[in-house]
Amino acid sequence: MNKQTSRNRPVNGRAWWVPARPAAVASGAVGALLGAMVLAGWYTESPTLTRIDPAWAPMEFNAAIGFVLLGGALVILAGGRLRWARGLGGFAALLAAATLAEYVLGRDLGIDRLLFQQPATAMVQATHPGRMPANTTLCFLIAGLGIALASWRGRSRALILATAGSMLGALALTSLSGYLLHIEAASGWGQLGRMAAHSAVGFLVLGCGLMALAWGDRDRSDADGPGWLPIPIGAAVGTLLLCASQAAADVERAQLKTSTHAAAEGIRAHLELEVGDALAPLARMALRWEEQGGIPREQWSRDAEALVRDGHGLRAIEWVDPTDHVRWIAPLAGNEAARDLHLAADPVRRAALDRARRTAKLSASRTVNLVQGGQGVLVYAPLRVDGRGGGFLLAVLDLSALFDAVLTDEVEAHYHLVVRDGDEVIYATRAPDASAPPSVGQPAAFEGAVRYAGHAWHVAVWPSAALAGAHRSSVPPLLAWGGLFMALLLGWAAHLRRRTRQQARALSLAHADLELRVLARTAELERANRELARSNAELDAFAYVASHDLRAPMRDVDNLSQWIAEDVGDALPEESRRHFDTLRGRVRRMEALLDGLLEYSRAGRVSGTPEPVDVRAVLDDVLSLSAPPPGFQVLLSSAPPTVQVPRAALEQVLRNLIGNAIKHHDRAAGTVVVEVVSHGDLVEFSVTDDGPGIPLDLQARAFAIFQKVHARDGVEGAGMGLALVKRVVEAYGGTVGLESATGAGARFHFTWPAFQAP
Amino acid sequence: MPRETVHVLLIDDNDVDVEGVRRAFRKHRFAAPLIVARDGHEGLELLREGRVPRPHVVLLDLNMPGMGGLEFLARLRADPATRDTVVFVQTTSKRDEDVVASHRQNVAGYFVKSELGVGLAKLVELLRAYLRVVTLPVGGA
Repeated sequence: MNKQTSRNRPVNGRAWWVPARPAAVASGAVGALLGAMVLAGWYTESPTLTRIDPAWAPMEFNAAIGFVLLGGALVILAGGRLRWARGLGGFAALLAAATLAEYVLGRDLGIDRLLFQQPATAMVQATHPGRMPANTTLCFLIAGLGIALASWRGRSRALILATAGSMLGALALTSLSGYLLHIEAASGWGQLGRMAAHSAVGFLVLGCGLMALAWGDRDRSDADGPGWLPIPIGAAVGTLLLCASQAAADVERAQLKTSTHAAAEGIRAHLELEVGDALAPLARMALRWEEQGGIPREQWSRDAEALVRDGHGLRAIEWVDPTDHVRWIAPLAGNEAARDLHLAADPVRRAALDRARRTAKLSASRTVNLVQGGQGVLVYAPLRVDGRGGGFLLAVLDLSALFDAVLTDEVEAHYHLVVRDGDEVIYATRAPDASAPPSVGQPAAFEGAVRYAGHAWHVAVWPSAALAGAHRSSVPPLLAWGGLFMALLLGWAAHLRRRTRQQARALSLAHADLELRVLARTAELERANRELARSNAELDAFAYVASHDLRAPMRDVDNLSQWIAEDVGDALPEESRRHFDTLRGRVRRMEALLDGLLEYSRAGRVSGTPEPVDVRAVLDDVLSLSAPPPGFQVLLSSAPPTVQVPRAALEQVLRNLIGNAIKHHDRAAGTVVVEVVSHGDLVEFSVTDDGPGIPLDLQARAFAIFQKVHARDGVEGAGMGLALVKRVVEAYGGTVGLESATGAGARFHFTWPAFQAP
Repeated sequence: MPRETVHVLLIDDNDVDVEGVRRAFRKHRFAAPLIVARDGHEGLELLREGRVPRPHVVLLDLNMPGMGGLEFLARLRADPATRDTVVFVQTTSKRDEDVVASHRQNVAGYFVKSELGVGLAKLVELLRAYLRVVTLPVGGA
């Protein structure tokens, strides 16, 4: 079954199943239809179709084309015509990329009006006529790339579709909220244009279509949703928060601009008022002069000095005679340099002078360097007495005094201000902070003119960096970093989830493998155990059969030989009689061997259960069964009252060890000492004799089966005793050992695990 | 008081052992008539047919081809006609299981052949003493 058919197969029995493909086709169709509608709107010049509300941004012609392309691409992709979808999506992405390049490079590549020349009415406020807004362009790029990439069938196809769809949805939602909440900044990126409301709706619909397609394409084996889900969610949340951050920053910038504008207008008006206050008395004095046909010099001086004292930037008031020489100066102090100055000698001063004469109105000169020092402006009030020129009243405005009066430190702390007289900068606030000089930065927040006496200064105002900083809140960066953080967090979550699943899968595989191996081992062990039990039983049966069936003929031989000896009686030669004795000795030995074999085969079986045993009683039983010859004594040196051991097995071991000690003793009298020490988790027994001892080289073989340490004829035995002891003790989990030196006796010891009392 | 003659039924497949018993009886002048059966079947047959006159005792081997001694004992005790038969086991087996199983069938004694002394002297002694003091059932049950 290939992937295509498995993708198309509907999964029933799931309440949340979305009919993915129909949903994608429907949303694609809606998007294409929207684009076609707006195209029609441009051709019919219907603002209702292109911008819906006159106050709203229009959907550009190129954007309408993009919607037709992308909607069609989505329908075709859902229909499975991958190559066509790739072509259309790719073309839309290319168009968007070219437009973005225009924004980035700051150049017009000519694609904005390539297909359609918008009527002039439509581009009144547009910075780039016909160009799609930047956020719209980004949406087209994302959607076009998403569709084009998803047309290659790959493992991350669903992820690509879902991520593109979610980012589209986030961008569209932000723009839409700008329209709904009347926050213009939300639907556009500052100077980079504003997304049309129906563009936002169209992107929302397309985004949903992409996500529906992704949802239909997910791996259905995951019961709890696709593993990539956190990535599109992260992309959407990140985009949303970045857009919100951008909008918030935009709003803050707009607020700053508004407040700066208001403050700057106040400054401009104040300047104009100040100059007006300075010049109005001048005009009144000129009127009085003309009415009275001149003013006596003393009275004029008094009046003029009073005016200068009032301030308003006035440095001096002078009377200029008709020959353009300065004659009267009030106050004279500080202005001596101007005395008898010929004003027409300087072209700047003369220009204003001529204009005043010509227009008969107050006329201000351009800024000049005053002869008294400093920069200033000369304002001439022409005097006409009896129809003839009576000279001029001249007000000397000291710029620094004027500006100082208006531009307080508080103003300068918040704003950069540049006042130009023509090309010449006559006043510029020195930057109170380290920000760049405003004249070379962005355009001024405010520009206006200060008009007086036929002259105008140009005023430009920027907010200071400190003020801009005060208007900048931590909200936009917080939103931006929060968005990045959320996106990374969700991406990390997706990664973790994926890795955890892989590990879980590997773990469960390993677990299953382990279980299989354990099962196999267990079966193997059980088989081995059965085999062992069977061979043990066989061995027992063999030992029994051997000891019994071999014994019968041996005894028969014994009997027959005995009868022959009896029947023949004394007729039997002495040598033959001895041979008969040897024969019967060998038969008895054979029987002893068989008995030993049988006992040994049974010694390996753990049959007795531990019980509290009084060692002294056991010892008494042993001694009564195998009465030691007179001269020998068996002593129990020390023992706990009871030990927890299987009684029969202990008896067997003690019987063998004590029997051995006596049987192999080299003298007719001796002592055997039995000692029992409890060590907590085990009990140690020892049987020590004062016999001949066992040579070191023989000790290693002492516990082997059918080994007789002493090869003396006098001692009968099968050589089974110690082997039997070893077998019994080890069967119960104990150990045996031997310490001996030639001529110094032997000490056999064995341990028995101390069983828990029941 | 002269006692009735007691017949001894020896059930053993081993010719040498049978010969050994004969020799022992002869050697120790033990006059009881000896009747021999080769296995349990034969022994049961002889007893049921009354071919072993009462009073009698049985010397029984355990390991025999055909019907073994333990099975013979089981059948003997199951049959009301032979339930009261006095049986001595004389066998080569020293196995506890055999000893226990035999006594469960109420044998009068359990002898291991190799321990019966030179020429079965102990066996003959024991039989003689036993038959002297014990009154055996005479009639059929």
